[in-house]
Amino acid sequence: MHSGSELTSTLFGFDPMWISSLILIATYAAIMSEKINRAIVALLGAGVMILFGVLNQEMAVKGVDFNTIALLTGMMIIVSVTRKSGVFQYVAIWSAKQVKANPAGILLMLQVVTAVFSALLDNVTTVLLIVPVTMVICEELKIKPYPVLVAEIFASNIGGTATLIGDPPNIIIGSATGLTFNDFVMNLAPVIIVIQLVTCAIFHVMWGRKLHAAPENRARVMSFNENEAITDRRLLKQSLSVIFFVILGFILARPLHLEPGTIAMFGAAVLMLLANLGRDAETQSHEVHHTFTEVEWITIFFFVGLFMVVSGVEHAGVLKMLAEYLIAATGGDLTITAIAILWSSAILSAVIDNIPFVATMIPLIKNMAPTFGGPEGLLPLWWSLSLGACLGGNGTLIGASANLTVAGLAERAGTRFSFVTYMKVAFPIMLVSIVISTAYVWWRFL
Amino acid sequence: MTCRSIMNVNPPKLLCSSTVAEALGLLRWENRMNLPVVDAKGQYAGLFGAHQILMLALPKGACIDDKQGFAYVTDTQKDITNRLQGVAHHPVERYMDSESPPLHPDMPLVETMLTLYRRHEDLPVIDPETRQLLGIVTIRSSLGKLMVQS
Repeated sequence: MHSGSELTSTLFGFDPMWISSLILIATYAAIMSEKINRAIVALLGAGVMILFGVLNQEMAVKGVDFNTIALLTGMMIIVSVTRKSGVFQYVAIWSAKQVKANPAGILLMLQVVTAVFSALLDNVTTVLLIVPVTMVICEELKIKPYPVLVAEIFASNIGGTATLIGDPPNIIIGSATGLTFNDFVMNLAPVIIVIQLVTCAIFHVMWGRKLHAAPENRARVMSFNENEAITDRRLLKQSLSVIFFVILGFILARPLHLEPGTIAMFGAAVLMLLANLGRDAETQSHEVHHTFTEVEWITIFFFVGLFMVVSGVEHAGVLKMLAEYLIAATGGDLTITAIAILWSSAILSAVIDNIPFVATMIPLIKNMAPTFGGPEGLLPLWWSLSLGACLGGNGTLIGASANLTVAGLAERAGTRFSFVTYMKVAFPIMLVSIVISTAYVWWRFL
Repeated sequence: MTCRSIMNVNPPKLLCSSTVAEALGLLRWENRMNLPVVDAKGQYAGLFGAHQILMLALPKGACIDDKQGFAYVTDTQKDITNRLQGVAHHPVERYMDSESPPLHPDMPLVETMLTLYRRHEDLPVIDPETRQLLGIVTIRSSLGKLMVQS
C-alpha cells in the first residue's frame, strides 16, 4: 500500500483522495450507463487519473496486472484456435444423444457440459459455442429454447466460479493474491458442484419435467452425426494436447515457480506453432492475424484502464480508508466481514459489472490483513468475494457478459429475452446459490 | 458520372406487408437476387432477397454464428421446404435487411461500383432527404451499361 505522500502533485493542488474517488465514481457510472464502450471509459478514466496527477505514467503502468492480461489473452488465443476443430459442438451433440434426445435429459446434460467448459474456458466463449448447437437441437425437438438457454447462463457462471481461469473475477483475485489453480479447485469446486446440482434440480422441477418432444423429433436429433462436427482432426489433437498441458501447468504452477499468465501465453504460442507447421509464410501471417483478431481486445483494454483507475484510488489512500470503515462496521469480526462481502458482492454483481467491483475490492480487502492476522487470515474473504461476484452475475440479464451474449444470440434467432422476465426467475435462484455459499463459507473457513 | 447514370428507375419492389411467399414469387419472376422493400408511403425500408430466404431455410441456430459448421445436421430437402413453408405467410418486414446503407443518386460512379463490388448484391438508390425509392443499381445492368458506353 502506498501512502499519499508518495504521490506526484495533483493538478491545481486537488486532494488526491477526492479527485481519485470522483474519477472512480465517474468511471463506474459511465460503465453502468452502457452509453460508451467500457474499454473507452476505462482508458479515459486511466488517462484522467494521470492528467490530474493522481498517478504518473510509471505508477499507472505498474498498476496493471500483466499476469491477468497474459492469462486472459493466452486463453483467448487457445480457445480461438481450438474452436475451429469443432470439439465443442461434438461434445454438445454427443451429450444430447447420451440421454436419447430426451428434452429433460438434454436440459441437464447441456448444463453439465456448459459448466465444465466454463470452468476451463472463459464463460462468453463457452456460451458462444454452445448456444447455436442448443438452438439447433431445440428446433429439431420443437421445444422452446428459452429454458435451456437460461439454464446454460447459470451453468456458465456457476462452472466458471470453480477454477482460477473460469471467470475474470477469479483471474484477478488469483493474480493479486497468489492463490493457485489448485487453491481455487480445492476450495471452491466442492461447493460449486453442490450449487450446480441444486440448480439443475430447480430447473428440472420448474421446466425440465414439462418439456416433451415427439418420438420422430427425438429421432431427428439422434440422427445427428457428431463426428461430422469435427472439422479438423489434426487440430483437434493438437488443441486438446495443449489444453491438457496448460491445465497441468496450472496445477503444477507453484512447484514450477510459474505464473498462470506465462503458462497460458506459452501454451497459446505452442498451439499457434503446431497449427501453422508446414504452412508457407503468407498463410501463417494470415492465420496468426486471424487468431489475434479473435482476442477480445475490448476486454483486455478494459482491464488495462481499470487496473490504472483502481491503482489511482489505491495510491490516494481511498481504499485503505474504506477498509477501515468496513472493519469498523463489522466490528473487526471475520465471520461478519466474510458474509458481508459475500452478500454485497452477490447483490452488486447482479446489477453492476463484477470486474471493476472485484478490481476495487481486492486492494480494499488487502488493507484488512493487519486486522485479521495477515494475508492467511484473509482467505475466507477471498473465497467470499469470488463466490459472491461470480454467482451474483446470474441475478439479472446484465449481471455478467455471458448473460448478455446468450440473450443477444437468442434474439438473433427469434427467442426474446426480457430483463424483468429473466430476473423474476433468475434472482431467486441466484439467492439460493448465495445461501448455499454462505453455509459453505461459514462451515469451511470460519 | 454518378450513380444516377447507371441506375434503373421504377424497379420491381416489395411492400413491408408482402409475404415471404409473395417475395419468393416476385424474385423468381423478375430473376433478381434481391428486391427493395418500401412502406405504404413509398419510403425505402430495406432489402429482401436470396440471402434472407437462405437464412430462413436454415436451422435458426446456424445463422447466429458464421464461424460454426453444421455438417452434423441431417436435414433433408423436405425439412428445408417445411421450414420455409412455416414462414411463408410472414411479412418480409420481419426479416429484411434494414441496416445496410442504400446508395444516393449523386454518389460518384467509382464509389457506386466499389459498393457493388464490396456488397455483392443489387443496391437500392434513395433520395437522401425524403428516403423515397428512386431506383436500383444491379450488378448485371451496370456492367451492361458500362460496356455499351465503352
